[in-house]
Amino acid sequence: MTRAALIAALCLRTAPLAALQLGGTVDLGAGQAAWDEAGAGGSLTLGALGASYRAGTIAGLEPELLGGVDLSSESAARTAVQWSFGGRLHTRGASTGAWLGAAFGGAGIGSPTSGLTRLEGGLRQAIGPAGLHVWLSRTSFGSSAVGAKDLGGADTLTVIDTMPRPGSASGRRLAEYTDVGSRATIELGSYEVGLSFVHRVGGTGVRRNAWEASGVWWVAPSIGLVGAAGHSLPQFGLAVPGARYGTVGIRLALGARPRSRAPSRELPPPATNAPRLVLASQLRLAIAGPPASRAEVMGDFTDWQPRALEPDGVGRWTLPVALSPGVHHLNVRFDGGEWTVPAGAVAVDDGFGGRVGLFVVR
Amino acid sequence: MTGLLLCLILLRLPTAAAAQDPRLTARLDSTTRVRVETLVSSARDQGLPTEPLVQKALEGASKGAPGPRIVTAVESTLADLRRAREALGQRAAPDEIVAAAAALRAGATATMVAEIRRVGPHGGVAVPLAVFTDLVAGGMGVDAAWRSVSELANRGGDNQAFLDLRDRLRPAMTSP
Repeated sequence: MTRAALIAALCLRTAPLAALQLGGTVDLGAGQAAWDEAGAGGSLTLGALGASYRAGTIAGLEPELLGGVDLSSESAARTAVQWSFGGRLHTRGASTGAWLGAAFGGAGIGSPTSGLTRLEGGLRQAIGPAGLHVWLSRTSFGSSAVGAKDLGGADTLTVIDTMPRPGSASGRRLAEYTDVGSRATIELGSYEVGLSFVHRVGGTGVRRNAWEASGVWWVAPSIGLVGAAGHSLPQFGLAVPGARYGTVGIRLALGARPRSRAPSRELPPPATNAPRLVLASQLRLAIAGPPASRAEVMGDFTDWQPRALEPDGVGRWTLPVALSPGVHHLNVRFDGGEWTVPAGAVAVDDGFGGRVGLFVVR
Repeated sequence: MTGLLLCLILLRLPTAAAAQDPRLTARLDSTTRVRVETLVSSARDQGLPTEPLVQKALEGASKGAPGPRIVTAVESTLADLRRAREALGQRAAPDEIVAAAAALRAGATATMVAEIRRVGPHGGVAVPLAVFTDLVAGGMGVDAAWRSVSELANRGGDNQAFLDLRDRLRPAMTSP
């Protein structure tokens, strides 16, 4: 059975904690879904709102706070709600890294009445424009709101992927599952392509594997056309069964262009923190940088005097400065660290034992 | 005779004052400053742009480099400018020389620079050379970037065509 699905996702990406400013992206899309559960009828609407903060480095690690709300509804049923809040600790490194995290929240029909907890960890590796992520997550639903008597004395009950519909009493069962996932991405100019695979360990579900192929074509710095197709696993908290799906949509970036993001909240976050020169106009310089409380730039346009960059609230550091057309040189640093060359500039020997970046203003 | 000597001294003073860049005076020790100013004067006498030399000295000062190393770096920059002008020809404009020096540091060869001078826009080759450098900065390989620039030059592309090429091949960075 095929049904039309409308997917609207609002994903807020925030500035470093010290900046306390918000930026974000908006995704709007629609497509077709063929649900694994036979006989279910009615159209389905899904939505997601997420936010994250990355603070400065603590003991060599970068802490991140994450929060999100997911909604789903059918025409004949009340809205299913899921929210979560948690944190992650990331190791530093532009090309490789690891993270560990935990989250708690709630899920239910009409209101989040069933508890949610999640433990997770992952690894990332960047090779030029390509990136590879692997992760492991353990998710539990229902432990805080569903008593043992509701479960017949059982501690856990694994829910198969023939899901109860929203409004069904059986939708408040307890469930635990472990997902092992991987995602490969590559950026080719204005195109981003990603391929994901998730395997669910344990449980009695018929469906244990999910995959997704997705692509983004950035037709403008802040406007991307998004396409995705795959087969999803059940979303227990939203009472959504697994489905084969295909969607197309548009992504609006309210600031620096984000890396590709999969529609599923269970896929890992963007990984790279390497500084990148993203704007060099005759009026302004902008650098997308790692989480930091302070950023500075110096170059031939400042007579090589360090100048503080200002956070713009969307993960970039900017400096209003007069830049004449032609070739310029610069270095940047964060939190008083080493002077470095951001990606987007040619790194050449500076003659002083370091590197300096060449860039061009037209 | 004394009057003539005084006149010569007075005539010489403005030149000496012009050679003393206040930025160098403020940020270099006197020994380093004198040696850098000598190099700057040499560049000026050869018709080469001097600002890149001043900037290299200021860069070294900000990075805490010792005086002799600053002088060496400025000498190296002067050599780059000379090499760029040799590849471009004696009539090269200052902005062309600066762009060519950057292209050479980004990986271009003197032969490449000479070739772009031969087939490039008649109004100057600063833009094609800068576009080459910018494409390399964007992650494109030197050979691929040069192929793109030289093909357009051989087709008779003007400066706007080179800027359009840059926008097509390097969309990740926002243009003004």
